[in-house]
Amino acid sequence: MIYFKLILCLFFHQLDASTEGEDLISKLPDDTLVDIICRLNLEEAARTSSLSSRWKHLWNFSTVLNFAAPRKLWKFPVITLLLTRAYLYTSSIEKHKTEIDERKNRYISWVNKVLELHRGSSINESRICFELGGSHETVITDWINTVIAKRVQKLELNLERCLGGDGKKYTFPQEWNNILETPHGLSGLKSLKSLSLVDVCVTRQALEIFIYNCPLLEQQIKLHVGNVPLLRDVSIGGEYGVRLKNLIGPVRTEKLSHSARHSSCIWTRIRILCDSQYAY
Amino acid sequence: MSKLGQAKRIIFLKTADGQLFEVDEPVAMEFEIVKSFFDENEDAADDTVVPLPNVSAEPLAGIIEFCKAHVEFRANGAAGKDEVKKFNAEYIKEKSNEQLKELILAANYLNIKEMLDFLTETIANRLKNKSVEYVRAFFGIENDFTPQEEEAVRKEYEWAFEGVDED
Repeated sequence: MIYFKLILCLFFHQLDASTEGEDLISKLPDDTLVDIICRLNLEEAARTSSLSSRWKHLWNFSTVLNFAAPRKLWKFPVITLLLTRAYLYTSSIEKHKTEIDERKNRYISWVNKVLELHRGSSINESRICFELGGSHETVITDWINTVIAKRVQKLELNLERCLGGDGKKYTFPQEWNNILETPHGLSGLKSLKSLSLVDVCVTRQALEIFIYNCPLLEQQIKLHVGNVPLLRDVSIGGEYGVRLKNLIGPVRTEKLSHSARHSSCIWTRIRILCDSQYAY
Repeated sequence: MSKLGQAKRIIFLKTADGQLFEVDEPVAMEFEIVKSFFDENEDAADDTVVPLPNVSAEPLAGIIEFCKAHVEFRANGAAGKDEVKKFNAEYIKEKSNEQLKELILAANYLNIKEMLDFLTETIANRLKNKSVEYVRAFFGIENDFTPQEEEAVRKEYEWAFEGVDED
């Protein structure tokens, strides 16, 4: 029987064994092509849609969505950077501010569009990286919820203010704990292995949601500037504490040791980094 | 499968172009397709020749070289170390795009996860910041869009078409 099967497959495959000059790649399954697309940046991935009709929607199945802003959105003229960083109140700064706001809006619609087009059932890695803040709370929360519902494993939210931004930082909203009541939210959180938050205010409540609902989140949680004041109030003990040994944050040593004495043993396991180790 | 006290077992593989390869068992078992063949046919004779009708001799030789090295790396506990990166870089340096495509087709058919990961990454690196025309030529893809359809796709993802390298 086996030999019969082998002969059969030998016969059929022999027909297309000579592949010289052919579209070799069309013989690969979609999964493998998507694997290649996942290793490209988003622009390169989206460009594959115009290769042929087979490729048109393949990039929408990519499991890596790294929203590093396209060049023209990210590259500001030097004068804009200088003016906004120096907080100079000149007549031209308004113009530059409008320019910056306009680019933020374009970034937001870009991310919205790509997420809307995404057809795959899972996202392994997602990185949102642009100067956004509290005024974009709804849309950022939607993004987080969307990628969590697709069982994201590695999530980075980098809202670093390189334009010297003003206003409130993004904070996980009060009602974010509703995510636990949505079936996709709760099961999605279980896939999270790595979390990095830069220039984001992490409330005690949000941090606890991550810690208590993400069993795989042992590798690391990275928290940068802006998280410290609220973090001091968090106390996590027991088995969760052990998992958090890689929590990294720019925590001032004296502040930390102070709270360590007053809260549970978890703090002693946290890797301490001095402010100077972060060049922010 | 391998009986205790026996000398190293050799697996015989026959390619589409009729060449016979003798491969050490641990290396051949890297090929999921060969492994499941023997899993399903536990009583297969030691001199069974496994036909690989979708693979010709040249890519198979390349794949065996790769898998052999990686089996050794794992045995020596060198997996993930610089040594492996160095080997991979050397291995792929001399390969033409055509050879690379034959390798990925064969690795896909044989179902070798580690090698597929490596090859998809290598191909992606060779396609970094290249134009649509370049990628089409690289893969040998036939463009079945009408000019209007292609224009519509390009327009929809306008943001993706800026700052592409010249071919």
